[in-house]
Amino acid sequence: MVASAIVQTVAGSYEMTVGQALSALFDPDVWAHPGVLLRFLLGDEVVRGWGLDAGEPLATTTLIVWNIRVPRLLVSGLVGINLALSGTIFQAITRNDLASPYLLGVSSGAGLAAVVVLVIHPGLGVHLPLIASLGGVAAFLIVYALAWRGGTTPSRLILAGVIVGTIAGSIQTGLLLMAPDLAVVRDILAWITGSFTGVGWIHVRMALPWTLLVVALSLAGSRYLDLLMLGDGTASSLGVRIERTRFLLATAAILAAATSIAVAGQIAFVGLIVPHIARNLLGTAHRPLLLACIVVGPALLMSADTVARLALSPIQFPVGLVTGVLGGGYFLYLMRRRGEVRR
Amino acid sequence: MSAMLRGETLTVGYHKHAAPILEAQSISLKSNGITALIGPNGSGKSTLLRTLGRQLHPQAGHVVLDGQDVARLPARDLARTLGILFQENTAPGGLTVEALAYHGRHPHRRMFQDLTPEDHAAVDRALGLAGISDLRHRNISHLSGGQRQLAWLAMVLAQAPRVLLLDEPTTFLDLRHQLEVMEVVTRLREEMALTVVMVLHDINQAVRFADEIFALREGRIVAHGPPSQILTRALLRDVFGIEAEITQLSDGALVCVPLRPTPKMEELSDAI
Repeated sequence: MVASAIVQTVAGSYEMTVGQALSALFDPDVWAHPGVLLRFLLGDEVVRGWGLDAGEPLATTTLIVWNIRVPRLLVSGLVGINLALSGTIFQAITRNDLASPYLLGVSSGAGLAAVVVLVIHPGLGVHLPLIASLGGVAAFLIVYALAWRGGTTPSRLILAGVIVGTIAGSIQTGLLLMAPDLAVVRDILAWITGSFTGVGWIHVRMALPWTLLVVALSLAGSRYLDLLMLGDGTASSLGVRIERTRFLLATAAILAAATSIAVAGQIAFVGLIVPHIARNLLGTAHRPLLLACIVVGPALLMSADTVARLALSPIQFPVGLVTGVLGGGYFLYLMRRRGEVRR
Repeated sequence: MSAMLRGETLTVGYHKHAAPILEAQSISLKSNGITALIGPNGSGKSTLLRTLGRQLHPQAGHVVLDGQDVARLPARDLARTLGILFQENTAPGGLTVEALAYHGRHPHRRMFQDLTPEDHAAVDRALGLAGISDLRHRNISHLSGGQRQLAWLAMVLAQAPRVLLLDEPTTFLDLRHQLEVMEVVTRLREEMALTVVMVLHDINQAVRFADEIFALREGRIVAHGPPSQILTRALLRDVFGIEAEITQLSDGALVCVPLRPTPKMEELSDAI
């Protein structure tokens, strides 16, 4: 994680040396003026009224590092946390190692909402993150309602997720084919693949509070995740209110998925692989697993983004492509090594 | 203190409007005793057990535990009194015997509470009672079927329940492990004053280890009483549809030896 953080800070289409980058990163013009730092973190409008020292005008390298590279790093870290936690939770509540954050319809709902808005009413494009997240949450609620028959079961949830996903995906493809403007289609495709291109501090501000909430919720729920893994019967005989617990945990996982979709689109495989890596390292207890996700998720995603940004520099390709290729390779390795994938 | 558990005119079905599997059956369990539920497949014995454990909700009737309707008890309160061992269990790969047993402490722990000395003591005791203290650091998926069943039993015992429900605890085990599980169950009754209710497939095990037997057929309790009264050729024919020989062992225990299925009514009338 540290290595990719350094590379991400130093390298890029604006050439600078390691020394320049580091001095930009630790530029006293930023650190010595709380006003500057807070303006990055909280946004111009919020901080302006506080009468804080605005500091010196910043040097170009400092501006590039602080306005482009640091927020991109932070966003990829936050998204990594969200996807990893979300995947871990979904794999536990569905008792299925192949569950991903997008299992219960959130990605297809988000995708469909985004495409509908961009194709039918392109003017609303600025609100894309919010609309996509809402679409994802709506799809999740539909999946839950479909799966409900006096209660849910993991397999009914998965089935309902597949149903909603398939239908939403078809409609989405249909709309894309009808889209009048090819540029719009390209934008949408890039967004669907997942990308950190053009993220800034506004995205950090968007993702940070939700991420904190999700981390808190999932850590609070870690013991319940362990119990749900024992099966619904056993868990309820131990005093767990299955449906309530499962719904709350799923909601936390959906919030995480929606947050990452909002800032970076649909990044494949991270939420699927990171829980596997963590389990291989630490076993089954969820508290250490979730904590590991908070480290491994960002590490993986920051590294993947480094590759996406620099491999064909100056052309950047969506980070979702890198994670997809990495993820496929990792699963192949797992499968070949010892048939590790359970069930 | 041993617990009083009874079911009052229970009608149970899997869906609200589906034909009930169990209809208006009442049962009163011997406290501080071992009760066995026997019957052929589909007789409703597991359904009755699950209803007693609040895993199924009756369409009519109540399950009453120590004078309280279990439907009104908070989930954790019930879990502190009543433990259930299921017929088949799946543990996530990598879980140790000890970690599983600690899950049994869940109903005694608050949300962010760490493990207390009481929890450690209860887990030690449960592993000891199940006779698997030496396996505590083993990975459950590496154990034999019988050891695994004892590990799950240890989890339920760590719950420190006063009522223990066992759903066919021996069905998938080899003979030696079957007897080991049954020995643990009898030991529990002596050492923990537990009220034990179990569904058994093996009539001879029920006769040997239970104090009282309830025989079910087609959703009705057709006979109950001490093993010596239940094990008759007439009952075996009536409930299980088999012809059997009943003999006495040298220690005085009764056993049945199934011989053949009783011919069905229509076959009999054909013969005439």
